[in-house]
Amino acid sequence: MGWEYDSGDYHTAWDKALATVGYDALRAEQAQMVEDFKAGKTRKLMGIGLCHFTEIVGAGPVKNCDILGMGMFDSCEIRIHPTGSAIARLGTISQGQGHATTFAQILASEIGLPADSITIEEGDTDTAPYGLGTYGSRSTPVAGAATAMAGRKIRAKAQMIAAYLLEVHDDDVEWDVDRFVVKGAPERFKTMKDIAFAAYNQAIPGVEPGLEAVSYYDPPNMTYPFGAYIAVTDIDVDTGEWSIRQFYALDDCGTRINPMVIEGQVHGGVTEGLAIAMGQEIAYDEMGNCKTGTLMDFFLPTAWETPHYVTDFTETPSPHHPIGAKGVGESPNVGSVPAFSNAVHDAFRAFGLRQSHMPHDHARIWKIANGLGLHG
Amino acid sequence: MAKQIITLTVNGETHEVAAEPRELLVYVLRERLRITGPHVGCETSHCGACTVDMNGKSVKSCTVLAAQADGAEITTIEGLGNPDGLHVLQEMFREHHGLQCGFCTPGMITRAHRLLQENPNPTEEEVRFGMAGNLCRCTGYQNIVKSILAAADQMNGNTSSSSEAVGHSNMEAAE
Amino acid sequence: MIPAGFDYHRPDSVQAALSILTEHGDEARVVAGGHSLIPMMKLRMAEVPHLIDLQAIAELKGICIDGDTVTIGAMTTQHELITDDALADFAPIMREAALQIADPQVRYMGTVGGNVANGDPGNDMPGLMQALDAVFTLVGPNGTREVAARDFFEAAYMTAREDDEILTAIRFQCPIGGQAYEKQKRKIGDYATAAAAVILTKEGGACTGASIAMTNLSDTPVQCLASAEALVGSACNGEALDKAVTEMLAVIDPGEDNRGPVEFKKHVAGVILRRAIARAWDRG
Repeated sequence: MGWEYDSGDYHTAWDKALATVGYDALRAEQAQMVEDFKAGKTRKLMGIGLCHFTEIVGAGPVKNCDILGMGMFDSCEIRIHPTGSAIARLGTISQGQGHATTFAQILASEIGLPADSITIEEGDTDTAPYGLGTYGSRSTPVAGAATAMAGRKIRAKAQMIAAYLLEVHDDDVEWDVDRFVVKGAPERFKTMKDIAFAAYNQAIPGVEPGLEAVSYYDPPNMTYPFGAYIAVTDIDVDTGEWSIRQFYALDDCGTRINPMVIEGQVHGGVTEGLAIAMGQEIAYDEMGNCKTGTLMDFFLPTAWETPHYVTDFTETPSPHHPIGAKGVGESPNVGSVPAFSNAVHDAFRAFGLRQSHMPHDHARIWKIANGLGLHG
Repeated sequence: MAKQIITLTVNGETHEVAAEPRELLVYVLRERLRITGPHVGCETSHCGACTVDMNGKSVKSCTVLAAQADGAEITTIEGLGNPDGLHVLQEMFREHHGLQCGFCTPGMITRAHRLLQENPNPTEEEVRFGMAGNLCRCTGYQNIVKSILAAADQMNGNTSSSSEAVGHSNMEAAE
Repeated sequence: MIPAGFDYHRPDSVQAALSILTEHGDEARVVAGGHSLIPMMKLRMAEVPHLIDLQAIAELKGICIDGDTVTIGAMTTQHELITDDALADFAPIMREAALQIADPQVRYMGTVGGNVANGDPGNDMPGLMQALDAVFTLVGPNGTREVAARDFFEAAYMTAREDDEILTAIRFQCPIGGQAYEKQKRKIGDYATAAAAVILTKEGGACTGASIAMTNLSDTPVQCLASAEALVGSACNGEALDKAVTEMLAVIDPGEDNRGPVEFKKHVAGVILRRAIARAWDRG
């Protein structure tokens, strides 16, 4: 009766991550550093933080998921203009995640119109279809699926129009990137642009004018993106200062629609993970006053504290999503916090550390070292 | 405490504005001159969203009084480029996905512009140090740094991207 | 956040500034870069009916090296300190310290005069000025006087400057020997958890003179005379170094804050001082 993982290839991801960072060499270096530390040759330690995670995103099946009774479907309405441009309206909203790019690319793949001739419109409640919005990595799993499904409805109607224009039976044409082609006669075709014009301007028996479609998509399951993250941190035992030497993020979010958008999400999410793991805190004094009310005290890393990330991927499509895509926005936050935190913990593991507490600011790291008797 | 006439040359155009001395530069730009590129972010001179160029220096316009700016030459993002003719930094931020929500971007680009004026060929480390007065919560800075390095390359007449290596030493070279 | 109303003055000479200051007494304050005062005015924690902006006073600007003495106008910015190559040759510790202050935008506005005159224990220049044995020039209605940095800081935000005086310049002799400014902070833009300014001279492998001051470990910068004395005659290691640290710990008085508890700060102060001494020694 519980949730069922949709797909995953965890060992492949994990092995790739370990091989890429040179895990064995890092462990050897770490062992050497511990030895040097014990011999009094260095006051630095190094920690390797590993995190393999599986996410559950894309809420969700209406039978399981609702907000105040409203089922967690999402939606897409598409209108193809006679000129061959298109507008798609969705029930989600981008705050910078690149929906206009991602959804236009999904649609472009389904209906064969160039992505830059597709306008994505979100957030206007006068015109948008009902939707449950953007959070919890649900936009691509749910609204992205709705986009693909609505696109397929467009294509189905376009097939009838193309067959009529080409004077063949519906079953005698086949889709090829941006056109319907007569089977066995590739020189005879109608592009989606031709079809869009005809849909509005030519009387086609038995077919309503226009070329529009709506999909309200109720996902059959959540999607389960996963990843393998590795953080390598240098620790100054005497001051508690840390420096992220290396951060590797392998994400598998199923079918990758736009790699640059995915990587952008990962960079931002990992940086938030860095902040959470290494210093961010809303602390109160005994009188209930917030002690971290400024950006000097509330740790929001600058470009200087933030490391250069290495991103990587494997691609295990979701079996139930129309194009195999899973969510990704939330993944880096899920994977990076433990990776950073584990790296700090790991630095002291050789000295018997059993328990440590986030956020790992200088004072807390120093306290760990002090508690382990490393300050002599 | 009455209003006084403040003269500002913003993006090459001289404006005379009646403003109270206590008004902050960012408000004069946004509310009185309707130049809304500089954003009001933290209001405490940490985040850098309000960064403008004042007399050849990057400043946080939330912490500059209008009266202090009287007579100054100001450049905002609007003065660097526009939709019909993007500045190379804007072009590179678009090309390399150097922005997501876009809130920090005007300040980022305005600051990066001054950084590249002072150091036309920075390393990744120098860019990170030189951009440390501007916060971003979307990009993790990686593509911002990449965009700035790419812009530097373009401005220097190269087409390839700079080194990706980064370390945290030798920050003197960054200023 | 917008400050309460005030009258704005932008005099073009120190004398003109002084006469406004004298006229309005407690109701007037001078502003340099404004990055300490303006936030306080925005929060309405500082009320300044008459704000006197010093930016137009040319005599307050510039770095003048004359033989083995440098005079730095109070309105010289941190950015100008950093980019002045002659100053970096003369006293490299100035650039090293200024680079660790705030962030680029703040360094374009923040001034050396404001940094010392504000008397904020978190500021980096006061301790450095004590290590350099700098002298501050104060101009008031009764003329000009000079106060040593080592006598200037009385308590947090309390200095030897009278309310009707303006700090116009700092002056110090060319530091001889190795110098280091070591600062631990949580992130760019933070004040020090602990910072140390150290200047050492050595001859034939022995320290012949030392000057040490610590930052943000008390309500004023802390000049560490006994620590310096402990190093003289030594190779700045072993027992002498231990004693220097012990003497420093005896005179600092850090408080607990978000950077950490007192015990942590004291430990870090010792580590930072050792590192500053080691680097200054290597550079000497």
